[in-house]
Amino acid sequence: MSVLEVEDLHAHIYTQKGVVKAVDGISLKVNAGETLGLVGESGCGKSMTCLSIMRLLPRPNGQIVGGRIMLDDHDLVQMNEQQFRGIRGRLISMIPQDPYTSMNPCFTIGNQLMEPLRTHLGLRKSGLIERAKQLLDLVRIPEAISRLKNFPHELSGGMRQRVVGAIAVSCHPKLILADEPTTSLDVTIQAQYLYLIKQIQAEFGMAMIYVTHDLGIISKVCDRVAVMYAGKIIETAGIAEIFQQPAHPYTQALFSSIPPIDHDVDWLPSIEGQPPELINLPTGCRFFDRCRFAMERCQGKYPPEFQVGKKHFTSCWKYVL
Amino acid sequence: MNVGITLIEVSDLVKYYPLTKGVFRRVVGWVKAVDGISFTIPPGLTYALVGESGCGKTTTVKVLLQLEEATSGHIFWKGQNLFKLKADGRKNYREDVQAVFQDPMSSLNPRMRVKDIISEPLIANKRCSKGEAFSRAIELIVDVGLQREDANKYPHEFSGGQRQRIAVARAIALNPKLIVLDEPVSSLDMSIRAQIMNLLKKLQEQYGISYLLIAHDIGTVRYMSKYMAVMYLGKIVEKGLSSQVCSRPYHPYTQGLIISACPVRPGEKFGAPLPGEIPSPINPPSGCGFHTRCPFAIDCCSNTPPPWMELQPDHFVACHYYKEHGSIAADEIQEHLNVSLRGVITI
Amino acid sequence: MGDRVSAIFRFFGRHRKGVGVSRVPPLFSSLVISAVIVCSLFGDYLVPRDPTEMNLAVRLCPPVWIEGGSWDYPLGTDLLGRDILSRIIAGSKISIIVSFLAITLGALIGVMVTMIAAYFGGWLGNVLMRTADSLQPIPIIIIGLILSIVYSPSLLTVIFSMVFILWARYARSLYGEALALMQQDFVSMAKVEGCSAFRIMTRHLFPNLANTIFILATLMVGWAILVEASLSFLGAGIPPPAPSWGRMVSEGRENITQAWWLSTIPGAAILLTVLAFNLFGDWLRDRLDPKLRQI
Repeated sequence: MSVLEVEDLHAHIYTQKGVVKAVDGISLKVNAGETLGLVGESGCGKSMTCLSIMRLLPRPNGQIVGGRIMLDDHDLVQMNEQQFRGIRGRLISMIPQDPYTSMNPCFTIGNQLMEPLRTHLGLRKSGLIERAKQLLDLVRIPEAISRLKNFPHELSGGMRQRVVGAIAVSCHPKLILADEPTTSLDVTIQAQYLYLIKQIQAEFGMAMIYVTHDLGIISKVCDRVAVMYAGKIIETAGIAEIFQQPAHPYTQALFSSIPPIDHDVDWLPSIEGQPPELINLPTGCRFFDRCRFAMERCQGKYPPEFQVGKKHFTSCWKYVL
Repeated sequence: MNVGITLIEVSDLVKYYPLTKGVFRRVVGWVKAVDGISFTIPPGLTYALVGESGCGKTTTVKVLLQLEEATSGHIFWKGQNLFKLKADGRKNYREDVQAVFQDPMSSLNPRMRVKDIISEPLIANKRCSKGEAFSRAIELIVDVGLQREDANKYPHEFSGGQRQRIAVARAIALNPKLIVLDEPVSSLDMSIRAQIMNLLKKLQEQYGISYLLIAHDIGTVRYMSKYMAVMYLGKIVEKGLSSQVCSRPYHPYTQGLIISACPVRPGEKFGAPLPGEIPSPINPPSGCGFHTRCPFAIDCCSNTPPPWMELQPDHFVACHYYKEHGSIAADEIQEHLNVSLRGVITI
Repeated sequence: MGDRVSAIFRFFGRHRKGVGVSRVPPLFSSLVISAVIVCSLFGDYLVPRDPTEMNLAVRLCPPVWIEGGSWDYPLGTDLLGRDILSRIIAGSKISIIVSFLAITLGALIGVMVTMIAAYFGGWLGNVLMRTADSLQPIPIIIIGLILSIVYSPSLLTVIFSMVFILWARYARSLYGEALALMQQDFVSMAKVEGCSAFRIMTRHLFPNLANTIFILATLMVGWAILVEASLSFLGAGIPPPAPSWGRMVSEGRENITQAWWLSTIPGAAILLTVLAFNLFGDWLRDRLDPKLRQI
C-alpha cells in the first residue's frame, strides 16, 4: 500500500545563467514500512527531490513546474501553503544532513522537541514534557530529563542527529525524508544511528526515502534503490538486484569505482569526464559522453523505461532490442 | 618495518594542547591529541593513518608539516633528527615534504591563476627563474590530466575534482620525497574519487614519492596504501600491511570499525558493534584508551598501557587480551561482534 | 503607480529582493559622482566666474528661480558678492581631494595593521587590535579641533585627524575577514610550501581582502566629506581663500533668515554627494559580496 507516489515531477531553479532543471521528470513510489534509497552524486537532483516533496525549494528561484506528488490521495503540489503546513512536520518530516546547523543554537533541546508537538498535536505543558522525554528515550539518549535543558552545542554530533531524528518522528509521520543524515558522523557512530533508525521505522511502520551515495548505508538501510543522474531516475531495483546485477552502465561504473574493503584490487576503473550541467542538458541519454556502451541512438532520444527483471527498471537503450 | 632505508621515522611522538582558563591563561588541563605514536614510512610507498574523530591523525599531520611544534618525541628524516636541525635543515625538510588537503575549495587561493598557484612553491623557494617555474607549471598541469589552456584560469572555473588535481600538481612542483594526503578524496563525488586515486598512484610510480595518507574510508586506504595504522584517542592500536589489517583485523576496535564500514549482504542483519561515544581526548581513559567500550576488557586494561605484539609478520597489535590468549583471540572477538549484531544493542 | 515607485527606487539603487543586483550602478549615484569628480578635476576650466572674485555691488543676490535673481549668478551670490555656483564647483576639489587622500592613507595603514595582527596573532595581534578598538570612541572632530589649535588649520591637520581614526576603523572592519582567511587551507599550504610571512600577506591575504577594502572606501568617502565639512564649519578646516562647502555653510549662518541660499545650497551639495557615494557603496557591496551586509 503506497504512502507516497510521485508522478513525473519537474522542479526548476531560475538563476541568472539560465533555468536549472534540477528535477526533470521523476516518478517513484514508497510503501509503508519500506525504505527507498535515492542514490547519486552531487547535482543529480536527489536533495532537490526531497525539498520538492517538502515544498521547501529555495524561494523565489525554485519552483515545482509539473507533476503530482500524491500522499494518500492528496496532491501536495496543488495544495496551498496553509493546507500544506498541516502536513509538513506531521505527515511528512525530514532529517537534514548537517547536525551542526539543523538545530537552533539559541533554544534548548527540550524546546525544539516540543515545538512540533505543540504545533501539530496541540499538547500542553505536562503532556509535552512527558512526550519529549519519551522521544529522547526512544532515540536512546540517556538521562533524558536533564538533557531536555541542554543546548545543542553541549551535545556531540551523533547525539544531535539523534535528537533531530526524534524531532522528525515526534508526530508519527507517515513518511520520513532522510537527506544523508550520517555524512558527518564517524563510522562507528553511524552504525549505531542506522541501527536506531531501522528499529524506529520498524516500530512505527513509516515509509522512508533515504538519500545517500554510500554503498554500505544502502546495503543496510534500503529495501529498494532509485539511482539518479542529471535530474532523472535512471534505474530502480530491489536491494539484491542493484548489487548483484546493476543494469544501467552508470550504476555499473559507479559501483565498480568504489574500492572494496574485503579484497585487493589492482586498478580501479573510473568514470571519465563530468556530469552534464543542468542548464544545458543534451537531448538524448545524459550519460552518453561518459558511457562505455554508447551507441548512435543514445544521442538522439532519451531512452524510456524498460523492465529488465522482477521490479527492476532502467532507462537505457542497451536493453531495447 | 623491515624495508631497508626508511624515509621518515616517527618515534613516540606526543602533542598536547594546553587548556587555559581565566585572564592570566592558567593551564587547567591538557588535550592529549597525540599520545605517543611510532611508525615508519619507506620510500616510494604509501602509509595510511585511519581513525575517527579525536584520534589524532590531523594533529599528526600538522606536526609533520611543521605547522605545529611537537610536545615530545622524535621525527627522523633520512636518518637525521628533525627537531635538532637548524633553519637550513628544516628548510630542506620543508621542501621535501608537501601536502594535499581535504577541501579543494579552500586549498586554492581564489585570486591566483592556476599557473601562479602551481609555480609558487618554486618561486617562493627561489629554485629557478620565473619563466622556468611557469613552464614547469604547465608540464605539471598536463601531467595531472588538465589542459594547457587551463593554466590561465582561476580556481572557481573548475570542478572539485579538477581543483584537487591542481592541488596535486602544486604538491609535486618541488619534487618532494613525501606528500601528506589529508583526506584527499573525501569531499569529492564517488565517480571522481577513483580518478584522483588513480592519478595519485600513477604519479607515485612516475616520481617515486611516498605518501602519508589520512583517511576515514577503509576501502580507499586498502586501495591506495601498502601499510596502515589504526589510531584511537591519540595512540596507534594496530598497524601492518593494509591487506592483512583489512582482511584479518585483530584489535577489537579495528574489527568493530571494519564491520561498521562493510556493506552487508542482502537479508543479513546488521547492528552497531561498538556501543557508546568516543571519549574526549581531554581526559582519556587510563591504561588502554579503548577499555571503556571494549567487550573484552580485562583488569589490567584499565591501568596498564597494552604491549605491542607481532601476531603476523609485519602486523602488530597493542592489546592485553591478545597477550593473554594469543592470536586465536581474533576469531573469538569476531564471533562476539557478529553475534552482538543479531541481538539487541544497548547504545 | 507601482511602476513609478519602482522606477524611483531603481534610480536610487534599491532593488527588489530576489530580482538580483543590477549590473550598473544606480543612475543617481553615477550622475552625481561623475559630476563631482569632473568638477574637482576640471573645476578651473568649468567655473563661469572666478570663485574668489568679489563684487560688492551684487552681494546677496538670490538664486535664479527666486524673484530678484538672474542667470548671471544662477545660484546667487554670497556676502562678498562671490558667485555661489563657481564656489560650489571649486569647493568640490577640496572635498574630493581631502577625502581620497585621507582614505587612501588610512586604508594603507589599517590594512597593514590588520594583516600583521591576523598573521602573527598572539600578544602582537592583541596589542594592535586593542589599540584600534580604543581609538573607536574618540570623536574625530575633537582631534581636528585640537590639532587646529596647536598647529594652525591646514590640509595636513585635517588629513591627519582623519587618518588617525580611519586606520582603526579599517582594521576593525577587516580583522574578522583576515582571521577567517588565515584559517583557509591555502594559507596553511603557503606555509608548507615555504612562503615567507611577507609573501603570504601580500599574495594571499591582501588580494582576498581587496574587495572589502574597496567597498569600505566607497562607504567612507561620504563620512570623510562630512568630517571635512564639519571641521571647516567650525573653522578648523582648510583655511581661506580656498572655497570649502563646509565653510560656506558656516559663513551663511548669520544671514540665514535673509539669504537662506548661502547655507542651504552648499548643504545640499554635501547631502547629494554623500548620499551618492553611500548608495554607490551599497550597490558595490551587493554586487561583489552580499555577505558583507553588516558593514
